[in-house]
Parts: sequence; structure tokens; C-alpha cells
Amino acid sequence: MSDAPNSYDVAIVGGGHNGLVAAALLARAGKRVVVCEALPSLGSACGISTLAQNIRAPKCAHLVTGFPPGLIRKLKLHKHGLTVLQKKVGRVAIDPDGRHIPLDPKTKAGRQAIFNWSSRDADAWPEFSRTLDTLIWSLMPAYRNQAPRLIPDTLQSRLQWLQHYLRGRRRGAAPFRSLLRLLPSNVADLLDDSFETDLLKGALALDAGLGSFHGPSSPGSLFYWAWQRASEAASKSGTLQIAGGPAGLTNALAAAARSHGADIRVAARVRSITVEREKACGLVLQNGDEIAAPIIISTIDPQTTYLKLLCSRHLDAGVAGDVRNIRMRASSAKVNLALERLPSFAKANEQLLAGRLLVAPGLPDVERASNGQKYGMLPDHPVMEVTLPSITDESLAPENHHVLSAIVPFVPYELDGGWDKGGDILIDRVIKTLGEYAPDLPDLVMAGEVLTPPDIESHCGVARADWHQGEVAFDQAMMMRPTPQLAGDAGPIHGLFLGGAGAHPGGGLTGRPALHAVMAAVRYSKEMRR
Amino acid sequence: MERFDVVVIGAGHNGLTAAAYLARAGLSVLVVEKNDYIGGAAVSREIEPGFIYSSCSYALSLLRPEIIRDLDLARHGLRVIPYQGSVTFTGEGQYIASSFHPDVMHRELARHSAHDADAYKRYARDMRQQADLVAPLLMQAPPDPASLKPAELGRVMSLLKDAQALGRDGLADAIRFWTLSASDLLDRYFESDIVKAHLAASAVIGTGLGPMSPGSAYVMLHHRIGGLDGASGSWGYVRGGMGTVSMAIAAALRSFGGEIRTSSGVSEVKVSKRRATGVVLDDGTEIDAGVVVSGLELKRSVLSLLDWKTLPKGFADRVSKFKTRGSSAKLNIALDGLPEFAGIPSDCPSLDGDVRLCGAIRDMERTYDDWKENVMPRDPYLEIVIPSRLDPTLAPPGKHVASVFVQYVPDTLIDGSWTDAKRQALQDVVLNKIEKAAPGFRSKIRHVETRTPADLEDEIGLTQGNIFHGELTLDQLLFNRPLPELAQYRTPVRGYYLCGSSMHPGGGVMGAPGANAAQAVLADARPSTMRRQPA
Repeated sequence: MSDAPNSYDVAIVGGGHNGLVAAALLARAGKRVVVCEALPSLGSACGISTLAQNIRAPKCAHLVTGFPPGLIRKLKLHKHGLTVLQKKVGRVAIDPDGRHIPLDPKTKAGRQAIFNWSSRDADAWPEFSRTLDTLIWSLMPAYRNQAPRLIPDTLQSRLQWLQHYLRGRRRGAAPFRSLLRLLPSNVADLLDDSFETDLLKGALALDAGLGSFHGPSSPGSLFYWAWQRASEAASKSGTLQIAGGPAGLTNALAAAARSHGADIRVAARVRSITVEREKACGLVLQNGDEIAAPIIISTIDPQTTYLKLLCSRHLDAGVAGDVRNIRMRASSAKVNLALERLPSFAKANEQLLAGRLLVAPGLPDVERASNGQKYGMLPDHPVMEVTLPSITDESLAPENHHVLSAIVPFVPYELDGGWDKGGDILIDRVIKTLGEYAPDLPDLVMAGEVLTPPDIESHCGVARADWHQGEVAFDQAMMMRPTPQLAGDAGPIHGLFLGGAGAHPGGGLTGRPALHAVMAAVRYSKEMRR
Repeated sequence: MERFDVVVIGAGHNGLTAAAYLARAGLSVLVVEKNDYIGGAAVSREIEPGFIYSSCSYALSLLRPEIIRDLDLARHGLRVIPYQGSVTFTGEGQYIASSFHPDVMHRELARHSAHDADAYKRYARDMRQQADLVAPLLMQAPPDPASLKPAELGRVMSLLKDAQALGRDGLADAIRFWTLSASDLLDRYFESDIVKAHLAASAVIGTGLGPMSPGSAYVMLHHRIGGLDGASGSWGYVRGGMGTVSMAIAAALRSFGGEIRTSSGVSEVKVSKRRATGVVLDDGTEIDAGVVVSGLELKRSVLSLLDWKTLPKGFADRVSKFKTRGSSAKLNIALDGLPEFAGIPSDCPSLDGDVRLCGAIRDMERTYDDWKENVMPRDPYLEIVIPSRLDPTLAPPGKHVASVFVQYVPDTLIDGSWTDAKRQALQDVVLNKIEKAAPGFRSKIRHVETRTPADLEDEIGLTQGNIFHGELTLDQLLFNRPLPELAQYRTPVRGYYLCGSSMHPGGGVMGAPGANAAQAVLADARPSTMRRQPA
């Protein structure tokens, strides 16, 4: 390998958290690494917005769930500026009249809150959480590890499948059967069969549907939910709130990567991946710069990677067709508000409001909100996950001022009639809805921004505003993610690995796709040397 | 007191099939039926004099050829008249006249999109491959992946081997066919909205899923796993109406010495020491039997007929969670003349089959969205068949009968249960929609009856009006149907078996649940209770 200035061991496309995790790990292992980020700033969904003077809000993502604590230690992220403000951000079903339900089954307050609504539901809660936990924990190993091959044609993959079977089967036949029945089932039926309280069902259904295209009554929605929750189980950690928002994480990752000598470039959009004899050998940037590297890790979405960055002659029609058919449409919008003071939610103390506030009055409301996305329409009554990060993070707003950050799921990327006025309509609906919970809130808004799905794509680089870079569904998960041919480290181009949300196990600020890609890249470089 | 080896509850086609197989094996069998006619949902009824309606189910494809052979149904009067294709009209005056003949189909699709005409070959091939994978599973109890019995493990392994033999792409397709929405699956092949709408139609029939809901692609597959005379996936009418199927099976049953009693509803299954000992009829008559087989829907079979105190803890609760949401209504119409659909020559052979009036997939999905909210459909999906075009026995010369299947009709409405006025309102919505597609239709109507999901429940015991005796979603299919613990046709009450469409492989006039349940009964029967096998 030459030591020319633009020659590296590994080139990483995309400077989101996955790209930076891969860069930091590989640089730490002594590789010469370059990261090419198209936008002028790093972090992708982990950006920060300035709403007004001295008032900032997490631009897109607002919390960090499922990021492995081991990775934080290994990369010494605390030394590089990471400050964790809350280690277990709780979920709260928020109620206009103040009968909020903290969705933490282990605390007495949580049980009491459910009991206030329904003694039947309080009784049903332990059984429900057990059911869900069983599902989550049985998916966890599949989430954490590399997926076995779809066709077990090697001894290793046969053993992997056997292991999955034995793990499912070990508690006996009856639990295994109920697992197999639950897996393809839907969230709405499980909730309706378990509970009677609308608020409880609505909040749980919203939690289940964040980042999904389908509503709670769609088959497969339970798998999606359990799969998302498996990210927490896999890293054995709760949801983190980080100082400065998730940007605090990506800044620390970038600092760690740089400390190990990684070259991180912003405003360096990749035009194409160069391939010679079915081997990746470098990148060409938009400005014409060429980068030589025998290993490419692309953390941007698989469709762009394979259909735009690669020349079509490197792909056979089957691969290209399947990549084109990846469903990427679960888009969300983001609303950030600067507030004069903390809005008055009925009977809510600061501790409660520091959690993830789930705004969804009932199950049908979540289902209804999901309907519009199918037809390119905005939800009339948006459901949303809201945080008030400034309660614990004083760096975001001056004293007494606050910021509110709302993720609005089920907002279509392509709005019927276009997005010209859509953003304003959406922010009005969001503020109006929030006003039903905190009547003074609409008057407290000093400044606000709405990031429509096209905005999220252009400002944060999240393609089609789908943070999974492709729906997480049975046919696009594990050994079929992103497509059967491209799953795992197999692919038509040697040395090209997918390390973004579009790869197994999917989106969220978990760093796991990057971990898998790094392992695959290391294996590949060892083979290359042989 | 009377005593039989077996009492079968319900003379639907599955109950009759189970009874016929058991009688054929030499058992003394009695079938009891609450209505004064037999057939359940496979029935022909003369409501308007001279006109014979297939009141509920209206076309045949899924009835297993093994059953036709085993019970010699052709000898007992079963004649199937295949039809050539279907016509789908979308709102804008466009139509597709499909055909089971590949060349005709190709030409027709090419009118809309050359790409789709070619893609259809690929689609039909993939569909066939998946149907072939399912077909061997129909006439046996579903393999139990949790069982450690060597025989079961062997069946599971051989199934896995079959799946593996599909190769990576075939297996990936299998996962897609079983989990995707109809719309997403069709998007993988086709570009034209009308072609997709035409093919998605079979995904919405009877289901509580929208064409854009994951899992609805399987319903398309379910409708393609049958076939007539070796033409796989094809459909036809039964001469004399769907009741002929039940009549033929009943004739087979009688030829084996079985007995059928109508107007004999069962009020209770007698159980002693967790063993079924017979049934009690509505009038108090008790009939003893060592084996009781119920062809009713699961919840009726367990919750209405068994004393819950005799059931294991939690069992009744799990049964009550079986999903049976109904979504279909039916109109039967006697016509004074053949309706003329606008824009298509009336001698087009595809008109012999089902004529669908629908919009694009998203329009069907909107109707589904309304259904989720228990709202009466404003623009329902309609499937019209006029079997008298091919079967002269159904109506006087020159006259016709039409059957209209209406999709996404809730079993209860947001403003309460069904009333006569609401039924009338639904009927008007449907007839007005047909009138638009076939001007002059309403003036030819001589008699019309409308059955809401609630009516289907009251009359033939389809709980909530679900035509499949339980939804066809993956959590209620194969080893999950109806519940994992009941998938082998046996219940916690020894000697009490289930043979209705709630059981694997599910709904449709298929007969397989009945035949499979009979196999389970015979496997459990002690040789001493078996009489001489008939020669």
C-alpha cells in the first residue's frame, strides 16, 4: 500500500454515529481511517439546533437508547467530552388531567398510577411485562449477534440456527409455542387483550410505533416493538440523556476517532465508490478528490450505496432489483420549541417531565395517526414523543427558559400537495395538541422550528427521514437485512461493507451496525493479507 | 338413550367431511345440525321461487382433490363448472378481463402495461412455487415445531429441508409471501395501479387486514392454493349452487351408514372426568357418544358448548382471545335479465367469473381504515358473480341470480348493532355502486336479500361474521391455528375434537380441517371401538 496523502486502510462513507463508531474503533486498532461526511457538520441525526439566542435543542434524535456501555468505556468517551445526565430516562404516559402513568413496572409509583385508572390493569401489568420481556429477551441474541445465513449451508450457520432454536425451546414446549404465536402478532391485539385503560394502551402503542410505517393493528408490529426494545436488552442499559443532546455523543466519538489519528472530513460528499475486479478500491468525492482504500464501510442507506455510488455494471439484475425494492418510508418529523418557562402540565413535577412523554390518548388515536402516512397525508391529531431536555441539561437554555423536543411519527416524506405549507400546518397541530396537555404552552413559545421529512433528509442526511434506512420487518431483518444477498458480510463487491442503520440490526443510536461492519472489515483485511 | 360412536356438531361442509371419513372407517356417526337445512356456509337456498342462491360461499377452488376422490363426490352429484377469468373495473371506466389462460392474460395485461404483462409470468411462477410449498401441508395436521417427538421432529425437519431446497431467493420469497402486505408484494412485480388492484382483490376477501397491512399477501396465496381439474389456482361454480358440495358429502356420509339430524341444535357437550361422553340437544334430548367432533367456530365449540369449570386454568381466556373479526357482507339477487356492464362486450368470457368493482389499492385501504373504526363502508369493494351464466339450473330461462360479496363491513357499527334500516342503507350503497357500473341493473332486480356479518353469525354461526372461522394471520395459521395448544384438532377434553375452519389449514370450502380432524380421531381410537372396515 502506498503512503500517498489520499491513501487509507479504510474509508467510511457518512459521519453519523455509526460512521464515527467504526472510525474510532478502526483508528484505535491502528488502521488509517478517513470519514467522508457530505454535510458541513458531523452527527447526522445527532445534530443540535439553535432556536433563539442561547437556546438550543437536539435537532433530530433527542435521547440515546441501546448504545453499548462497553463501547463508551472502550473508546473512553467520557474523556472526550461525553457527559451522561440521565442513565434511565423513564417513559411516561401523559394525561391532560394529570393522571400520568410512569411506564416503569418496577416502581411502586408506576403500579399505583395504573391502579388509579384500573385495578384490573394494575393486576394485568406484571403478566403483560413478562410476556413482552420474554419476547424481547428471546430476540436479544439475534439483535446483538451477527445474523445467521438464511440458508444454513455452513456448519457455523447451522450451529447458529440450532442455538436460536435451543434458546427458544429451553424453557419448555408451551413457552416456545406462545413465543411463536406472539412473534408475528400485532401490538393492538396484545394491548386490547391485556388492558382496558385507553391512556395506557395509547402510550404503549405509540412507544411501539415510533419509527415504523405501520400502525399498532398491523401484523408484525409486535416484532418491530420487541426488536427496538431488544436494543436496550442487548446493551443492558437504559435510555440515556446526554449533555448537549445526542450531539454530545457524536462529538465525543469524533474526538475519540481523531485522537487515534482518524481523518474526518466534512462537506466531502462521496460521488462514487471505485471498484476494480469486483473489489472496492476507493472513493471519488464530489469535488473530484480521489481516495484510495481497500476497505469501504458505507453507513449511508443501502439504496444510495448500491444504486447511486456504485456503477450498475458491478451488480447483477437480481441484486439491483432487490435493493430497489427495499421499503424505506417510515418517516418522522421533528418539532423543536423554545419556551419562556416550563409549561404547566397538570400535576407533573420536574422529575416526571424529565422523562420521555408519550402523547397519545388511546390506541385508536395511534392507529388513526398512522393511517395518513399511507396516502401522503398529515395526521389530523398527531401523536408524539416529547422531551424537555433543558430540565436536566442547563447548557441548552438560560435559566427558567426551556426547550421542548417532539418526535412526530407517521409523517409522510411525500406530502399530498407538497410540503410548502405542510410544515406550518404540522407545527400548529403539534402546538395545539400540546396545548391540550399544558394549556399555557402555546403562549410560551418564543421560537420554534419544524423539520419536515424532506428537511430531515437535507439537513441531517437521513435518507427519506427513515432512521432505519429501510423498514424493520420480517423480510428486511436479520439475515434478510437489507436484502438476502447483501446480508451479513456477503455482497457482490469485496471489501464493501454496510455499517449504517440499513444493515442488521437496524436504526437507532446503538452503534451496532458499525460494530458488525468493523468485525467484518477486520476479518476481510486478515484474509487479504494471507 | 341413543348411542353413537361419534356425534358431529354442525352439518357444515367440514363437519360433514369429518363425519363421512369417520363413517367410512366403520364408526357409527350422527351429525346434528341446528338449522332445518344442511350445509352451513356451503348452501343452496331457494328464497325466491325458481331462483337458487348460493347464499354464503359462492365459488369453489380450494376443495381438496383427495377428498373428492376419497368420498367419491362426483358420483354423489358434485359437478364443477370452471370459469375462465374475472373482470376488474376501477372507477375510471378501465377494466381488466383476466383469464386463466396465460397467453390471453398476457395480452390483456399488456393493454395496461407491457412491463406488467411480462412481470405477471414471474409473479405467477413465484406464486405457484409458494403454493406448491404449502399444498402438502393442507391434508395433515400442522407440524409442531415445539414437539420433541421423533415423528414430529422428522416432519419439521423435512419441511425445513423443503424450504431450504427453494434456495436463498425462493426462501426469501416465501418469507415475503407470508409476511408482506399484498400491496408491497405486488409493488415488487408490477407498476400499473389497475393490475395491482386486480391482483390485490383476492387479498381483501374476508380478511380483517387491508391490502396495505402486512400479512395480507398470504391471503392472496391462500386463494391460490387450490385448483380445478389440475389447473392450479383456478376457480369455478358448483352446478346447483354451493349446497351441492354439502349434499354430495352428505350423500357420501349416508352411503357409509352415517345419519344426519337437522333442527337439532346442541346446547352442551357432556363431559365426565374431562372426557366427552355425548351431547345434549336444545330440546333436552341426550345422545351418548365416545367421541364428539365440533365443526363450529372455536369460541362456540369451547365457550358455548363446554362447562368452563371443567377446563384447565386460563384455557377459556386464551380461547376468547382468538380473533374472529368479521368484515364481509353478502347480497343475493334474483334478476329478470342479464346485467350489462358498461364498456365491455357482454359476451366477454371473463364476465362468467367474478366481476370486481373496486378502485385502486389505496381506495380499498381507505375502506379498511373505516372498518377499523366500525364505520359502514361508503365505497366498498364488491365482487359480483352471476353463476346462472354457466349453470342453467339456478334460474328460469332468461333470468339470473347474482351474488355480491361486500368487503369491509364491520360486525358492529360505531353507533350500535345492525338494524333493518342500517342493512337497507348498506344495500343501497351496494346497489347504487353496481348501478353505476351496470346501468339498468336495479330495474332488473326481482328479489334481493342482504346479509350483514351479524346476520351471518345468527344464521350459520360464523362468529362475528368471520367467513374463515377466525382471521388468517400468521399468529393464527399453521401450528398457531387456532391456538398452539389446539393445533392438533384435540382439546383438553378427551374425546372432544374440533374440525371447523378455525382449525388448520383454515377457511374456504376446503374440507381439509374436517378430513384432518377425522384422522386425529381415528389415530386416537382404540381398535376395540372400531368396527369392521368396509370392503
